[in-house]
Amino acid sequence: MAIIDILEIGRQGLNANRKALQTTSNNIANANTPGYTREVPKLVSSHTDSDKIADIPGVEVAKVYRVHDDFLQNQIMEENKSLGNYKARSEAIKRVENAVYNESFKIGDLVNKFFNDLKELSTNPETFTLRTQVIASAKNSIEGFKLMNSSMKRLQSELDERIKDNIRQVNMMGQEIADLNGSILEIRASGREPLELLDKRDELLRELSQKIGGQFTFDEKNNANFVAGGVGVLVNGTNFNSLEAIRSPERANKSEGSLDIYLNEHGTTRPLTNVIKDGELGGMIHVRDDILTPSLHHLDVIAFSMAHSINDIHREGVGSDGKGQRNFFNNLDEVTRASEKINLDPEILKSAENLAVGLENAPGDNRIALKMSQLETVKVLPDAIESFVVNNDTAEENKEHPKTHTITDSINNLIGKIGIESQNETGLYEHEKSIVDQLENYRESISGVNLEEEAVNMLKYQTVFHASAKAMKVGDELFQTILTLKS
Amino acid sequence: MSTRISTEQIYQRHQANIAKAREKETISSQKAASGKELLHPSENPSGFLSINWLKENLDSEDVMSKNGKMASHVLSMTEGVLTRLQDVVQRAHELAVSASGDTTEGSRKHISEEAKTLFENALQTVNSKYSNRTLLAGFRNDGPAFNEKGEYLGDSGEINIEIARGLIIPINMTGDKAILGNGLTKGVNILQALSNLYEGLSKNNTELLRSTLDTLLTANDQISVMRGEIGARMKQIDIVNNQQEMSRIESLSEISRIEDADSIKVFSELARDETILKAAIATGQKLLSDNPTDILFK
Repeated sequence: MAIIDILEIGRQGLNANRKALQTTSNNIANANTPGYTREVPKLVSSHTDSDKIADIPGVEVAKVYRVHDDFLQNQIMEENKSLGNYKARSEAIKRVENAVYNESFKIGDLVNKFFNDLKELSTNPETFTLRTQVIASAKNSIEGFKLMNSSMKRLQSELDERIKDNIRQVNMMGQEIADLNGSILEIRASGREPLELLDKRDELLRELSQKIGGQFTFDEKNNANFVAGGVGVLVNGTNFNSLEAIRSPERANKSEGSLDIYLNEHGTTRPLTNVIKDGELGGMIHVRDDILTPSLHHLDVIAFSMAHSINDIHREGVGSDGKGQRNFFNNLDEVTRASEKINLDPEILKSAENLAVGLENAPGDNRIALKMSQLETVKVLPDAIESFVVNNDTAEENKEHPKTHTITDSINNLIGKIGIESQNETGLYEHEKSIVDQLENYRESISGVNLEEEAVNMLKYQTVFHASAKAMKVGDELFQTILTLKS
Repeated sequence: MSTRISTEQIYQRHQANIAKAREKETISSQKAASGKELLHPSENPSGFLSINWLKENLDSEDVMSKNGKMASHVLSMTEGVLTRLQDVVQRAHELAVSASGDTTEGSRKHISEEAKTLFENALQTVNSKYSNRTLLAGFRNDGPAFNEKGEYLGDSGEINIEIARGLIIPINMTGDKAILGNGLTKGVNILQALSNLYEGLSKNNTELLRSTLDTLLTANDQISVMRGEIGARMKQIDIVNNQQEMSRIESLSEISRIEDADSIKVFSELARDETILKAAIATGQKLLSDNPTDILFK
């Protein structure tokens, strides 16, 4: 070995340890970067390269590799679908719960007060003040229905806005993944490893799976491809198909004017709403269509039923002017939007004298007020609200859909069902979160940066760097000695 | 094999611990401030449904109980009317008995003045009002039940009210039944009987006089029956009121059991959660301050 070889070995040592120090610095700098996978330089002896069994030994950085577990990454992405789904459901249903149940404003209490005021009127039918009291509590009940209706509709609109926002984010992420696929291929083609880009892509895939669920695969070129709902290809290599949210007519549980999700693919649009079940999008769609829409319908059925039942009795009686056949509430001809449209009949609004208290125009006649007040305990609604039929009068219909709930039972049922859903979804979310937290924890323990470790590595590479420099200095001194021998 | 811990894990664990402790402390504070164990339906859906049902039931029962008390008062007033009327009828019977015997025309004429007074008293009694409502006039209770001739001006309307769930009782006695005897097996017209007594005495009509003896006895029995009926209704209201009172206490107790927070438990949980939160913050500070990296990187 020549003296000059010492210089070469020293140079290799400097180079290799400088690259190792670079890698360590990169790790330290990215210690807090979300999704960053720590990198480890693989130092190999130059002798290990059998193609160039070198006369000059030394060291080189064969590769810098990511400390990464593909299986764990896939597991996290799978669980993220459910996490996003339960998170969105749990948050949205809590909002629904607040919309239908407010400690300071309970529709059940308002309706209960209306019936209690009717009871009082039945005891003192000649008292005019009690008539105005009944009308006032009826107005409050109506206000209660309208407020609950508008709260739920507002929530549906808010969910639509969030769906739109999610789709925008999904499109951004999808486009970025497609771009990254291309960049990764290019960099690999030039013989380098795009470590940071791979980290970025993994992070985006995790986020995307939380947003929309879906399935991802890696093809032979290591492109990450993403399919939403099993049918809509979002990312295919460097190609990206965007999602779009469009307002559409009523369909099944989807209300008129709310958003449907479409995939733009090869110049056509394909509906995807029904197949997106996972991720935050799936969760929001579920709450919007499978919780809010039926709840609104339930509220409409209660309002419709209450108005019709009271009207049927009221029409039998007469007002103070001796005239009968008046409604108490306005005539609702269909269940749809009943809780929005319900109001007092104009005749009742005109004068409290038009409120029918008795069957005849006698001051002590309280038969109508009594009968109306007793409606509180009459079962007028079925348990399965979706089976409610307008004008359900035939014996067959009654047998098929027996009426098992009073009006206040049904109101409490509506709120109770949402309470149960909220409890379920919160439990599922917490359970799923603990699973994902564990997996993320495990990922961090494998791929995360430990500053103490990096500090030690830095010392290690720095020491060897100094030693290599020293070796070069010694080599140089030896060389100088040889050169000065002749003189 | 030891578990590797990344730096990010240390920070995340510290954050998660504080967040969890903070969440629990917030919930305990809310419970302590509101005094409620149950803040949202989702915390205990079945408990929530029970509370709602109990509260609605309590509100309705309060109204029905109030109605019951009012009913009791009206019935008591009606009973008072019938009692006074019965006194009149009994006195009339005494007069009829004494006038039916060996009495002169002049004595009968003298007695007839009292009989007239008795008739007028009876008329006044049967037209008694309670809070501007004539008690015996049925639905037409804004005017007198009987005119000066003893003709009935009311109707047979029974004013029913609900005093408990599904329990409806009439709170009035109609004049056509109580006074005219309509619908009764051996009903008599009490005012007519009194009028006949006066007529028999004033016109010395002994035949008419004698016919009033049995009629007045029957009238007395008739009033007793009516009073008995009223008494039974008042008893029923009493029983229902007592049951409602007991049921109210039980309902309030049940509502409190589900809804109200045990103040000792809540405050001790609050103290515990505050301590845990402080400990989590202190532990994190310790963990982050004793960082070997600081030594290595200096």
